[in-house]
Amino acid sequence: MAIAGVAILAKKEEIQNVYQRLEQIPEITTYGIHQEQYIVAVVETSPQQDLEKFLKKIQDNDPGILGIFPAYANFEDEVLGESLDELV
Amino acid sequence: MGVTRREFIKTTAAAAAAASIGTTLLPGGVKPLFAENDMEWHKSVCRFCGVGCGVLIGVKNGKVAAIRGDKFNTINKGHLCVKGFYLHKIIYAKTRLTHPMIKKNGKFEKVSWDEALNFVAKKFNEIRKAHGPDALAFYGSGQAETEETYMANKLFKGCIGTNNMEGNPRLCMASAVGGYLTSFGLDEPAGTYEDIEQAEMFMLIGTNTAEAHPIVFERIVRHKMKNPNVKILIIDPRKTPTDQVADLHLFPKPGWDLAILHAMARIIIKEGYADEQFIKDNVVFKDNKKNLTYEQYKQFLEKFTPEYASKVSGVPVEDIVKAARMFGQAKTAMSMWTMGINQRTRGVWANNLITNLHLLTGKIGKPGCDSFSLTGQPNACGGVREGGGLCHLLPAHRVVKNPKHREEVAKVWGVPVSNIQPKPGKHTVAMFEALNKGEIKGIYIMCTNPAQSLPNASKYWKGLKEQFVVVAESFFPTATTKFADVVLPAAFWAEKEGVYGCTERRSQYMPKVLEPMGEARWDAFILRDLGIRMGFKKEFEKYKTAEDIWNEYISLTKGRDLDLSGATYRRLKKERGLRWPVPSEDHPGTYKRYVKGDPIFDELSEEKKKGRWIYFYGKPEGKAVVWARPDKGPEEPTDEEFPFALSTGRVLEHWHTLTMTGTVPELNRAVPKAYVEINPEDAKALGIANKDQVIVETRRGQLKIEARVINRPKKGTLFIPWHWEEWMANILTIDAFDPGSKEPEYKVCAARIRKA
Repeated sequence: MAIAGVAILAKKEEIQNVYQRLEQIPEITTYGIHQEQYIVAVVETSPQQDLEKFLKKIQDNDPGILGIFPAYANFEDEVLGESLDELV
Repeated sequence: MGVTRREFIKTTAAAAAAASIGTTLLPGGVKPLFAENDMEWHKSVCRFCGVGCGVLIGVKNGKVAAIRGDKFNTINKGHLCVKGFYLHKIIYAKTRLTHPMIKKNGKFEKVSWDEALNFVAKKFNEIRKAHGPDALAFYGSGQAETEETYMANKLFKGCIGTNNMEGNPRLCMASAVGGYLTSFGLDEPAGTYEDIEQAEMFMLIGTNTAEAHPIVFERIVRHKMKNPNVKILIIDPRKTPTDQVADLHLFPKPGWDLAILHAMARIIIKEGYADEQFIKDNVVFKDNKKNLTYEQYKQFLEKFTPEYASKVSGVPVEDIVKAARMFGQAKTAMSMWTMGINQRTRGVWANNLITNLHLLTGKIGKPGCDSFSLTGQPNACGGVREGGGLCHLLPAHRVVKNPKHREEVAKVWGVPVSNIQPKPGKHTVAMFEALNKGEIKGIYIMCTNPAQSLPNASKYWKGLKEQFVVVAESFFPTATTKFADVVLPAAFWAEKEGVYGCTERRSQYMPKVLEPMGEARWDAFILRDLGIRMGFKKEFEKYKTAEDIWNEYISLTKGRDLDLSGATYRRLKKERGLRWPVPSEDHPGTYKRYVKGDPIFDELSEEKKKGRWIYFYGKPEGKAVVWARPDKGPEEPTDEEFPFALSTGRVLEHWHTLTMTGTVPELNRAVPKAYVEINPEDAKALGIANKDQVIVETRRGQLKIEARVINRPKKGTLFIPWHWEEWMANILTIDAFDPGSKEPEYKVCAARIRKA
């Protein structure tokens, strides 16, 4: 599983629509529109889903998105075999 | 109420993404909700392209468990592309080579380091004794650290005594080097990435920036979105994702764009966009044989009417005129290019003609202005161009032909100056030809995969098969290790420390955060130990650490144009890299060369500068050259027999010959195989449907591959991404090379296509 923090660069005139469309996708949690052109989001994919393929599909299917730029990617459950659902 | 590890990571991820665009999610700062007290973060540099993005490596329980963009790095400001995402997976790839092997009776057998290195040393010494030093060769990489290339340089040029030392930047950057040297007198750009946010206009020529250099593209896009008046001109035979922000796209026939650049220059002068004072003060004119006057240059350009350029290139006249005006009217302009310009038989000329536009309009040396070559590999600039890892070079932009340079280097290396030959060795294509002919009988290949990456690749397998081949690699197998007699396991990124120097003259330090996998060792120390075993104990035993090697290297840069003597490990460990010249430990590095703020310019006497604000100190009288180059087309133009122009290139998800990205299942599944892009009109005429199997054939070979019918390549052109060994595009490409830079013409050859 991957948990990734991404900055999504969108066309200014489309950004509200892009945001609404992203909110409908279960694997994505949105964190607001910033600087009129960025959406901050976290993407969680299951082991069966490829993060890369998933992001590419989102971008390819949404003409309002100009680019998706990862800023953080965590794979520790995969690398270390630890559960992520225990309390810390 | 408790918080799960998942929630914790999610808030960290969101905060990191927000910080990467300079914003916060919560009042009070950009820090994540919780301190990450169980993850150690180490500042490093991405392993992939030449952009030089800063990454933070997250280590937990001795393993790399997370990657984040370094928001304090001025290049990527916290962002990464998708390849950077998966760096950790490559470290743990199943294909990591973990022990030395020698091929015995046709099969690789695991051996000890002692056996492997003794064997190589004995074979190399036997070859040297029987056939002379030039029967040996080294072929390195723009992915190797500067310290690694430095050790190879010393061993082969300084100790063994051959200049047969090359690196794969010959295949990607040599024409840019030739362009800078002939236009400015010195290699590497005057400007930096800082110019992006100050440019009014971008000319992206022969580059698919969105896929090959995504972070640079993001900076351009972000800048254009903030400043809608910013114009983007693309000159490229293929429509790519970079087009999403283009104001104008010129689609020349592959290899026929030189006439367009001349036509743009002609319009710029005729319509009054030239900066006549800048030209008078700072420019001279030349053709291939002699100096010209400005008037003679204008006369030369008369041939290049928009109509002529249109006829040659296939680009509409009005688009050529629009492009010239776009460049001329912008107050500031930045050109960027990569392999579409460099990998040509006239790559140096193409580089010159781009720079011509900047020199004619005075759009150089000022904020937002530069002719800026983008680099394909992470240390092609640092290790190979600056470190002197090509057959005619010595460290710190020195050349073997210059006796003073040989003396300076020999002194620091502690070798007799007579060891360093004055004649350049064999360039890459000549080196592998010599291997085919048996003139070179032993080769050491480090961190690269020439059996797949050479143009006309299958032609060169003979030499690899017949001669003694040592391959030092982190991954196994590769197309090249199949031909190896010995394979040596090399430590990978994060398992070794060292320095990478990126496109913008910036050198950045990478720490060792993990022990190497299995028995893998650092390439620099493999070479050191080989040198000692070959009899060069005195010359090599002194290097105990990476810093020892770096310190010796930067001592050689003192007083040179690329002065790195202030870029000590102590500083580089703290700072996000330094841009040379950086002549002392208290110097901040240099944003722009040739102008105020460049320590070399600042030290020039006023008598010399004569009040000029820019002085191209690599050239006599400080004047750069505008070149009147002929408009030659490709080496192998299309004809009736082979009517398509074939081009090759990258996709976003993969890199080079897949030795790294091929080990990441996610990236493999995203783009699992090669394909040939064909224009829908051409496909229809040939009865080819999307996903049909087709045969692409050139005069050198043929490839069965899946067709992708798509409106990306111009009619009459084909495009194949070159990453896969199974669909090896380089058995089709041509090995003709630029006579100046010796860089091959990967980007265009004649081909035909039919349904399989």
